[in-house]
Amino acid sequence: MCLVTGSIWGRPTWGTWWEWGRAADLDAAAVLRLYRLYRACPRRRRAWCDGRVPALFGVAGTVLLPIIRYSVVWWNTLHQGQSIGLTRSTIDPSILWPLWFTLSGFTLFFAGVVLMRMRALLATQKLEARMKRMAAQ
Amino acid sequence: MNPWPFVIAAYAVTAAGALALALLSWRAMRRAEAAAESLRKPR
Repeated sequence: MCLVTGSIWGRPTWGTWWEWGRAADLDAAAVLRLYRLYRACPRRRRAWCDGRVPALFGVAGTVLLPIIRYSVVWWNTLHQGQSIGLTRSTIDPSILWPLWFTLSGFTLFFAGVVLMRMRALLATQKLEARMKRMAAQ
Repeated sequence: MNPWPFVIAAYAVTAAGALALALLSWRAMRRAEAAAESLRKPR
């Protein structure tokens, strides 16, 4: 969703859907790498059935987070520089408050999805434990 | 360039993606809990 809506945003804002090469938007490219890494993760899990391997992928993915965060500062790309700092913002207040509003909404939505996935995982583990107990009897 | 078609398209992608993610997660949770409940020992 982030990559698709970012691309839709880029067309009217910077005049292009996506830009590779020297002037590539490295911020989006780093997000794409992170997405590919996490997409690869469940396949590894099915192949090896070991929870430690997906955990290693998760840790490896965090290496990309500072690159995504600082790519607009380190490289001169189509993306504008940093808009929000710890003490000040260059974003107009008329679109700054909706940003915090939607950020809060998506954080709550994300928490809800994680809780649903956790309940599903716990129920699956409970089911496997009961099946093992029944097989042992 | 009129930005509104792009704004509407971005909102549509976000709403559809969020709804699909929520529905898939809810369905996975309900299925797993129903399966676990079906094997529950009667006390």
